[in-house]
Amino acid sequence: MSMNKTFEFLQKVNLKYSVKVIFLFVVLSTLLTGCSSQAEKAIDIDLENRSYTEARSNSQEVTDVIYLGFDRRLETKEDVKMYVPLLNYLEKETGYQFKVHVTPVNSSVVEELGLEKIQMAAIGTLGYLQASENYDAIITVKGLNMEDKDRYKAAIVTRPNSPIKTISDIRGRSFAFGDPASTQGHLIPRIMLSQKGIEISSLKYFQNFASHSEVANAVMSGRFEAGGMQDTLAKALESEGLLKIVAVSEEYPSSGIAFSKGVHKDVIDRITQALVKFDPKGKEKASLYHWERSEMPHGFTYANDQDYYELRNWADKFGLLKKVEGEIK
Amino acid sequence: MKLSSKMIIITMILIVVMGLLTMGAITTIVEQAMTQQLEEQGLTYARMAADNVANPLLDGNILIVQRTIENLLQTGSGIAYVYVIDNTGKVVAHTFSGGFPINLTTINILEANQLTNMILLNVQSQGLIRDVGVRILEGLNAEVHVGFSQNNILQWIYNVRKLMFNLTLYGVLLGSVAALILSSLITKPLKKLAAHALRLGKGDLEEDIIIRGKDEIVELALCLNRMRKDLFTGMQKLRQSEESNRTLLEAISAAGEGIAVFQDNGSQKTVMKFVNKQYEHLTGYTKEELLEMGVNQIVRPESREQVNEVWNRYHQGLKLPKQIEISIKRKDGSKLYVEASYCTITYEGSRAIICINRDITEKKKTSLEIIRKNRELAALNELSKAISGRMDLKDKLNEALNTILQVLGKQAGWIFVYNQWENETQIDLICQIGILPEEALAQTQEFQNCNHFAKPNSNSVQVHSSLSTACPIKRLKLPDGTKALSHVYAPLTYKGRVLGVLNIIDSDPQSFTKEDLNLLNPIGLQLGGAIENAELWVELNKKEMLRKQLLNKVITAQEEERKRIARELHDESSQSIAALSVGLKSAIEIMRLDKEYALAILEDLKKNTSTILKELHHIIYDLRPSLIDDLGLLPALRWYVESRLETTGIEPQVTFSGNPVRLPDEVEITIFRIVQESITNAIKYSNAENVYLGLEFGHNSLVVSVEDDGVGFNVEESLDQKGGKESFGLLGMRERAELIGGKLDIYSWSTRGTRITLKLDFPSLEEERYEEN
Repeated sequence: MSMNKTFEFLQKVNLKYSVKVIFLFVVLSTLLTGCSSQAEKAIDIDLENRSYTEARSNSQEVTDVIYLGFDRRLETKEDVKMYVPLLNYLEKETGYQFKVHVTPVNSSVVEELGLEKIQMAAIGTLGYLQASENYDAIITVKGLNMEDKDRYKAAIVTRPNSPIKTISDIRGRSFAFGDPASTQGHLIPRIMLSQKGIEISSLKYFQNFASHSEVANAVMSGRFEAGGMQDTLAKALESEGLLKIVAVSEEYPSSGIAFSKGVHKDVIDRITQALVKFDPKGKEKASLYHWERSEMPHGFTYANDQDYYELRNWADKFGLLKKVEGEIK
Repeated sequence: MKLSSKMIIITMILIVVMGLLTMGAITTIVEQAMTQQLEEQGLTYARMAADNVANPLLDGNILIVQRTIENLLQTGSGIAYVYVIDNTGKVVAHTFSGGFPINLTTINILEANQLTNMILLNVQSQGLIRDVGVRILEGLNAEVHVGFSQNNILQWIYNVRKLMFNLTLYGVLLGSVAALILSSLITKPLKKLAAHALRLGKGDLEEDIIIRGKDEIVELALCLNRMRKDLFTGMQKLRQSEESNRTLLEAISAAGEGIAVFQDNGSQKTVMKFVNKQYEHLTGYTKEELLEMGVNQIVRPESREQVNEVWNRYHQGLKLPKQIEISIKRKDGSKLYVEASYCTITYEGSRAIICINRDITEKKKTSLEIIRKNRELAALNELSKAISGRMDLKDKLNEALNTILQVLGKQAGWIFVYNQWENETQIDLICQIGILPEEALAQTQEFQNCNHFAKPNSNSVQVHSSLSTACPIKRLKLPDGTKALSHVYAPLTYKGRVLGVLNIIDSDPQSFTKEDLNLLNPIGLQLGGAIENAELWVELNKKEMLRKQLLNKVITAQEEERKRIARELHDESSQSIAALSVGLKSAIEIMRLDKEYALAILEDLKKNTSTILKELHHIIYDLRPSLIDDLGLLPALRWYVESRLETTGIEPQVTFSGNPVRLPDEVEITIFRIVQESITNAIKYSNAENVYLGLEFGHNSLVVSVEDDGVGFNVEESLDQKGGKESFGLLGMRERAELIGGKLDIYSWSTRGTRITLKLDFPSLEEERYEEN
């Protein structure tokens, strides 16, 4: 119907009908508006306008945040997932703000603790000794293992059919060590060998591997005649008949949480109290992510520098306390 | 507009509306579902990308990160771009070529605790893109963002709308054809029905309409036929009814009752349309004057509410009251009471009210008079109850005032009584209600001086109602805060004496009716009687009290007299007789030895015996002087005074003057006792040298005086010692004097002694005079 015809039609119907028709249209409009979805507002942007230096301007590191570094143990993302719930717990207990910090592969936790890029670190015993020696780092808690002990041991293993019966049989043979920063994979096996008069110079050859698993693989594959590793892993592999334990070390203080020297004592005390109170088997269990894979599956206990006296001497003897640019080897 | 056109238009509107509604609803549902699916898909892709790039990103292997997101862009459907931001906020990998879009990172920023977020972007070259941002790991700042194109959704929605529009168009065409067919089926018989209804409206009620079929239109035709029959029958009945009404009106008129028919005249006014001769006679108006006269013009104001209620009920279609009593205003202004019956009729084809009026003026007046009398009787009855109790006068009058105010329906009033005190009339406010005591008292003292108050102290009821602002009642306020403008004065009288006044005030100058004043008259008499009774009651109580005191004193005096006699018998007579007995015994014993001496003793005893006899004689005389009986009062008094004072050293002086007569026995013995008591007191207390007794007879009067020249005493003090022996003596004398109608005065001075005077009036006696000696 054209506009003229519509106008003529409206003229024909009386005013009463016009009002009703208008009312009907208003109701229909309301119904249609109500039926149609509330359109989401889209933000206009031009994606063609580009640059090579784009970065989010407000993403600077916040200065009043306490950053936690950690020794890589598993996959990096798994480590992060494991430590984030602990930091959430600490935030709740202390009121401070925490963030996890992933140490780049070309850097070390010890160095970042020394440079105060991080304020605290979940660090191995040897790492602490190096940080303490070079950067005056402080350790306040050490981890409790599955047996609720704050100490750990290492084991020297060989293949099940190996002629090696004692540590002395290793002289002149090849040996697989763990990472030079690893206490159970490197420091304690060297102590065990040294106590039997075997220095690395007495070995046929040796190599440092990044993890205990790699050491086990190296020995099981026959590439190395013996190796040093975490006692718990060694026992598990022995029970499966994959390896044979030659000797198990005495107990040494386990790894813990160290603080950089710039952190205020009150802050350290407060965090330490929260860590000692931390109960991964109890009420915190539900919020944790595979905490049993950590070095401190049963939580923390108080630690002090005296606990590490003996190991410090050995590490010093082996030259492991020296500060090295970049990664400590 | 024709019915068929209306049906077509309505059908088209309905189809268009339903089509639009369906289109809107389906489009909305499709859009929401697809958007939701896209969002879920985007989140899945973004989370997968985050998981894949987490380790290489944290290990610093940016190349692997870049390869991973490029792979995602190639394999994922609808992905427009992917980019990764590291912990420091730097874009470390993306799928854009030739640099990274400026500001893209700042649009979708995840909050501190937020793990995912989606934003819709409108990109000029690519249309709508949904940016899905996911945090790579909780606790780290690094993010992955994936952009998904929403163009597919828009295409889907366009297709759905197109389909729905086409369906609606087809619906409109089909609906129009259907409406055209349907309307022609309906309108054809309807036109026939309309023509028939038009004939019915013009009064052609002779024949029915015939339509064949079984639908609603046929039912309508049948209804029209039934209605035609009903109308035809109704018209016939109406004619019969009007005929009956006319006959009925004539019958009622013949019974002598006034009839008026009222009807609304179209301008919201009810006027008379018909009146009969009797109604003209009742109202005094002519028929011409009454017709078109409004109902309120003939009805008096006090009945208008009742009549208006009848009209309201009539207009609301409610049942009318059968009979009501109303008053109407006759032409000469007089009031006429009628019993009016109303009912609804049809008069000249319209609804009307017929009102049948019966004159009940005489009956009403009698009834009102009975009611008034009943009210007065009830009020007097209530008043009688109020004043008949054993309350004191104040409580009675207060209760009475309260009852009167309730009966008259007034708020305030007060009662005062007149009191005579030392020859002055004083006003005592007894009670007040609804007004302060001080205001009532002030008003009582002032209103009698008001110029507008006609007759102060009158013994008739008066209304004191003045227009002058100077009138004292204008200063009074009633409990409801209104000003007093009228005041009624109701004297409380007894045997013509005004004993007090009942005052009632009211705020209406005309509030006291003639009936009220008539009622107040007997009330005033009743209350006057109550006041008089109360005063008599008080007097009676006083007399009763005095009688009791006197009785006590008589008993006490008797006991005193008995004690005195016993004491005298014991102290004197019994001692003397005992001594006589001993003497006689001694005489008997001595008689054997010495008769002479015994005789001498007996001689002494004989003398003693005469002394004892004398003492006993004294006692007996004190009890009842026989001389009064033998010789009369005057000799008895003389003998008593002289013999009593003989041994005391007091010189008696006895004088009788006037014309002595014998008085009744009780008067003489009373005078003797008064003199006896006075002499005894003088002997005991006065220390006088002389005592004077004088009796002065006048015409029907006697003055007895006993006077001494002793030390005197304090008369008031002695009389006030009610429990003392002395006071009993003085009071006893005074009471004895009052009993014989005399008056006893006691005067005493410390230097001049005491004088006791008895004044006695007596009626004329048959005189018995004393002999000369």
